[in-house]
Amino acid sequence: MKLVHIYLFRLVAGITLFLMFVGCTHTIKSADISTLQTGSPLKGVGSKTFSFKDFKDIRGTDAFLITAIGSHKYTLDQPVATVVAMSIRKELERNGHKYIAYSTQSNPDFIIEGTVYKYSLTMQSGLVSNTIIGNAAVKLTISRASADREVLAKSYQGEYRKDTFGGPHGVLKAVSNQALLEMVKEMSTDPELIAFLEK
Amino acid sequence: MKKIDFVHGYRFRKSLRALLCVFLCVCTGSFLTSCATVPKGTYLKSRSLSDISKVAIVASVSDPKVSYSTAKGYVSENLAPLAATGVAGLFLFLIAVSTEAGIRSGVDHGRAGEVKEHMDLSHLEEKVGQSFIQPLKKGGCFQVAEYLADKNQDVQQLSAKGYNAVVRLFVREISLKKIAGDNVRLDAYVRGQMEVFSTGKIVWDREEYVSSPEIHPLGYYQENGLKELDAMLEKAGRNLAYDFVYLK
Repeated sequence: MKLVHIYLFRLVAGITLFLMFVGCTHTIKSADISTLQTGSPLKGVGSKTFSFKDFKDIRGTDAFLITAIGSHKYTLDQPVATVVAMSIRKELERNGHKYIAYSTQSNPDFIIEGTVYKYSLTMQSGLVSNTIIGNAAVKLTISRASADREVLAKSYQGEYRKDTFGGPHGVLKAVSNQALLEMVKEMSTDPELIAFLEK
Repeated sequence: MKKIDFVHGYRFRKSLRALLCVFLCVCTGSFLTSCATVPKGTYLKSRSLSDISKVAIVASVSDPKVSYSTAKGYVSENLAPLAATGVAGLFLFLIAVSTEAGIRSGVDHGRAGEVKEHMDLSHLEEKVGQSFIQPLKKGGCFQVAEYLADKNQDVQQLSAKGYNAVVRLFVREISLKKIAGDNVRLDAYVRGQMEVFSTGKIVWDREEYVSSPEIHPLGYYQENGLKELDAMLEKAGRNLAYDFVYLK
């Protein structure tokens, strides 16, 4: 074996061992989270204005953290509650509704408050493959800003699973984003919410 | 003789190193690159439907998976507390775990089989087809949208009957997944696909995942499995139809 091959072999072995045993933080950019491309009955509701009053994260972990697998941490570049609120806002805007920043002077049709109680990634190791499971869940409280102040409180959950044969790092980001989109879709296609907005 | 051994041994070591190198490269590659991606669908564009007036809708349900998977309880998790028990303990534990798992698995597969017996596939096909077609009719998406019970008609036959396109709905997976303890969740994947006859192109192809809203013991699904599945397929069909009804 040539000397150069030996060095190459050692380099590959070194990188592999480094990646396997040395922990690091993987940050998922919230800007990379796409919007849904599926049809939504939210579009059939006449254009409404909405504001976000408060979005809380009650998961009891770091506000940016999605999960820690071994010594690897997976985080978002913004707090999880902010990312969830942003995804809901994008979905409402995609369907023709308008966001207004919340203030005591603003006069939106609806005020939305949210509590994120699940946002996680888990990995189940099998003998041959790993299953990556992404979960996202939020409880929304939507108040009509008219005189009657009618309220709809409902939880929406999204889950996405993916089997992978190799290292999970590349897949985690995709699974996390897809779980969030599944949660947004659950909200976007909810007949109860549509009926409430149309009332 | 020594020379021959030396050469043989050298070649052996060399091939072993090469094999190890390939293995390490695969490991590194799998860490650095994504091995699986989220499947991307083909989404509808309004121009895709511009010259379509008569659409056939067919639905098919693949044989449901009755061998339900355990979302928890993989071997790696079972082995975790065994680090300090020693080899003998390990073997005894493994035998116990595999025996128990075997018995439970046998019982569970039997129950899952009973769940399957309650399933009438043609009813499920009709359910997903009708739940898809109703929003289309309500939304006036096409002049004619018809559900065809005979799913085996080919493009020529449908074209001869005046259809411009066909929407195929496949319930490609119905499965029971153990989630927490003895609680099981019912999952289904429904894939929708539209083929336009004039171009032969697939203009819409995406999947809808639906699951039972709550988890229950397997026995619950022996009685209520079909009812749960009906509601799930109705939701999947409706959500798929929204792509047409609320097209930009």
